[in-house]
Amino acid sequence: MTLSIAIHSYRGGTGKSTTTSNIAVLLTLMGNRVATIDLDLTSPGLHVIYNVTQQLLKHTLNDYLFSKCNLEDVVINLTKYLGLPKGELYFIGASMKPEDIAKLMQYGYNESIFRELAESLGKEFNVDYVIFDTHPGLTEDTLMAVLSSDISLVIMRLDRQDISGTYLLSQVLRKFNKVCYVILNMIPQKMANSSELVEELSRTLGMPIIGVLPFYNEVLAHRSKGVFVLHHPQHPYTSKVLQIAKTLNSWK
Amino acid sequence: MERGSKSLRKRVISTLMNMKTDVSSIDDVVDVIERRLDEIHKRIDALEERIKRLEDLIDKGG
Repeated sequence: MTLSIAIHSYRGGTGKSTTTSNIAVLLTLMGNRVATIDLDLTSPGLHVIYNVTQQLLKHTLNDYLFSKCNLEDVVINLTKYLGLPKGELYFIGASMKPEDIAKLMQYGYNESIFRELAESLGKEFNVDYVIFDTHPGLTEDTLMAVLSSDISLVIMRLDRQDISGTYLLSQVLRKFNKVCYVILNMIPQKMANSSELVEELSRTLGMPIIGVLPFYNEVLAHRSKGVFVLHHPQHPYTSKVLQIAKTLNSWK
Repeated sequence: MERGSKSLRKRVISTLMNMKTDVSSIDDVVDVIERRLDEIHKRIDALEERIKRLEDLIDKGG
C-alpha cells in the first residue's frame, strides 16, 4: 500500500522543501521506497536541494500533466545519485521555464492527477510513500493536493503571520473533514523542548503536532546545498527529523 | 484539461466561498496563542536564571 503525504503551509519560507527532502531521505534509509514530487509548480525548488540540475531534469511534472511524456520519463531515481545504501528514493521535478509555468496557470490540470500519480507510482514503482511538496497558501490546486492525499503535514513557524495563517488553514481543512498534523519548524531553541507549547498549539489549532524542529544556524548555513541529514547525520536537527520519519514509518 | 471541470475543484471553491469566516476570531486566537507563548517564554527564562544562579553557587562551593 502506498501512503500519500502532502507537505503544506499557509506561508512561504516555512521550510517545506527542506523538511520534505530530509524526511524523504530518512524514510528511504529505513528501507522504504519513497517518491517525492515538487508540486510547488509556480516556484519549484526541491530539485536544488537534491542537486538535480536542469540537464538531469529532462522531463518534468509539467510535461506529464500536459501528456507530453509517460510517468517513467519524469521519474528520476536518486538512490545512487545521493549515495543512499538502502531503500529507493525517486523524484519528480517541476519545470522552471516561465512559459511552462504560464501554461499551467492558464490551463490548470485535472484534479484527479494527484490520486492517479500516487496510484501509478505505487503500481509501477512499488513505492511505500509519495510525498508532495506543495505550494503554500489556500490556492485551489494546493488544496486539491492536500485533500487528495492520505495525510497532510502542515509546517509552521512561531511567528504571528504563521500562527494566524495556520489557524485559518486549520479552519478550512476542518470544513473538509481533513485530518492534518503540524510540524513546528525553526522554533527558538529554548522553547523547542516545551511540552506546554506543543499541548497549547495542538489544542488551539485543533491539529496534533507530530514534531518540533528547533532553529539551527547550521541548517541555515547549509543553504540548500544537498540534503542536510546526509551531510550532518549526527546533528541534533537530524535526530529531530528522524523522530518524525519514525512516526510516519509507523503509519505505513 | 480545463479548470473547474470536475467535482473536487468545484467542492474546494464552493466550500471556500461559503466559509463566512469571522476574521476577528483569527486575531483573538492569535492574541491568546501569543500571550501563552510569552508566558512560556518568561517561565523558561526564569528557570534558566534559577539554574544559572544555582550553578554559580555550586561554582563558589555552595
